[in-house]
Amino acid sequence: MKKFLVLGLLAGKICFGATITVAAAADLRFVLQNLTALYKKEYPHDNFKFIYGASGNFYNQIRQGYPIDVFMSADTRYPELLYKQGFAYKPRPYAIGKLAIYTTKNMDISNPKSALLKAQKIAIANPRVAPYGIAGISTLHCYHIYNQVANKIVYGENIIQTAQYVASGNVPVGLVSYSLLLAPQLGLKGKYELIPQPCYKPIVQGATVIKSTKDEKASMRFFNFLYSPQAIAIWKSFGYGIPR
Amino acid sequence: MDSEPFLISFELSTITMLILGIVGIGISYFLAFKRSIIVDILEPIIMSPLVLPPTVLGFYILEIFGVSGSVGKFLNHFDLKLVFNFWGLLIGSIIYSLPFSVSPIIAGFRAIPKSLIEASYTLGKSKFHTLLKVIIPNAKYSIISALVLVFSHTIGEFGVVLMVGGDIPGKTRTASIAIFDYVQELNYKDANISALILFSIAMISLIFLQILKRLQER
Repeated sequence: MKKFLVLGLLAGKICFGATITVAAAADLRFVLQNLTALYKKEYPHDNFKFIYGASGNFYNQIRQGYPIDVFMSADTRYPELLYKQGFAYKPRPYAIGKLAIYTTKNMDISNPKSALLKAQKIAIANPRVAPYGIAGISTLHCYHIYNQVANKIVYGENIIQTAQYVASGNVPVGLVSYSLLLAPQLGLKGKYELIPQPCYKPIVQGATVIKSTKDEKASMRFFNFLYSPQAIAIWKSFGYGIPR
Repeated sequence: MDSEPFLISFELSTITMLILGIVGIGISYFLAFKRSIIVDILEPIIMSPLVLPPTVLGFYILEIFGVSGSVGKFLNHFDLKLVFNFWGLLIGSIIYSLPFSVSPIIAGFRAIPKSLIEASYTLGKSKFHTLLKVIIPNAKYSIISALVLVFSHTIGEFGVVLMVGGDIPGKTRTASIAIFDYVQELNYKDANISALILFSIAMISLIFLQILKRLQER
């Protein structure tokens, strides 16, 4: 009886494809919806479960045995560390993120520096776990205003929570990922302006397949898809740069 | 709206309630009628989740039961994992809600007149028989309150389940975590519906407890 059950489950897997659980950096919340829609056109039998959060949190959880298949970080450091520690296969960068200043208030943000100085509060992701938070803090240093605004910073747990602080009107201005703002859910709520590039290091984002994956083939299938020409078109449409 | 988080919450709360019903009676029986240094040490330990931050509990559970934790390492040999799955949620919930089970039941047991219990012994009934036929029926309101409290408290858990469960859709994403996610996605509609359901559950259980109290006073 048990044997048949196992056979049945196996058969089910072959017929119905796999469920791929992806832990993804929060800046990917909207772009991945488009990406997977495209993926499912090619592999209609694969299903997805997405968990969005701060890359650093995922890094810690994966080391504790977090049962996911693919990890899409907002930097390359965390996937590289997991690879070196034997938790993951060799990572590869899939996109380069950009930072933007975002507001839903009636304020001028064409000069980010003066907007940040004027704002009563500034939303930034927690730099200890969120790579976009590191970019946010280095922007403040680059403008030489960190010491003046340090006590106005409101830290979000991850970059989408940070954006939500601004979108809800609770914080007047935030430094968030450009990709989130290109999604209508957030972008249409306010206005945004890219932060000039030399102010922060390019946010190169890497992905990796976790070694404890239950279905390596399916995980690799999705991992490889991230670098396909169709996927690159989606990355670009959400404002990401493409790593060489 | 996704109903899965609610199913997970209800499943978790029901199982936690059943386990803590039995465990709570056992522990309370051990603690309620004794006066010793052991009781004075054990009671604060059992009550500690009332005042401890959920992150402290979550941290310790991960440290102990995680893959690199002492117990977790041992269980790994048998391919057993106790964090980031339903078992992790259950362990977390049982520890977190333990005081909500023990505290009302101990109070109920201690309120029973000693003479009643002693009469049962004098009539030659065993300790177990006395527990089953005298102590538990006399503390039934306290036990029911404990069950209701544990159920609703488990539904309301957030910090421990987030840390130990890891917010995995369909596995460890409970209703309270789903609300957190909905708000982050600016999905206020689903956040509203979910929040209203949880609010109603909380109110219903508190009103039920109030009715129990009145019944008990009569």
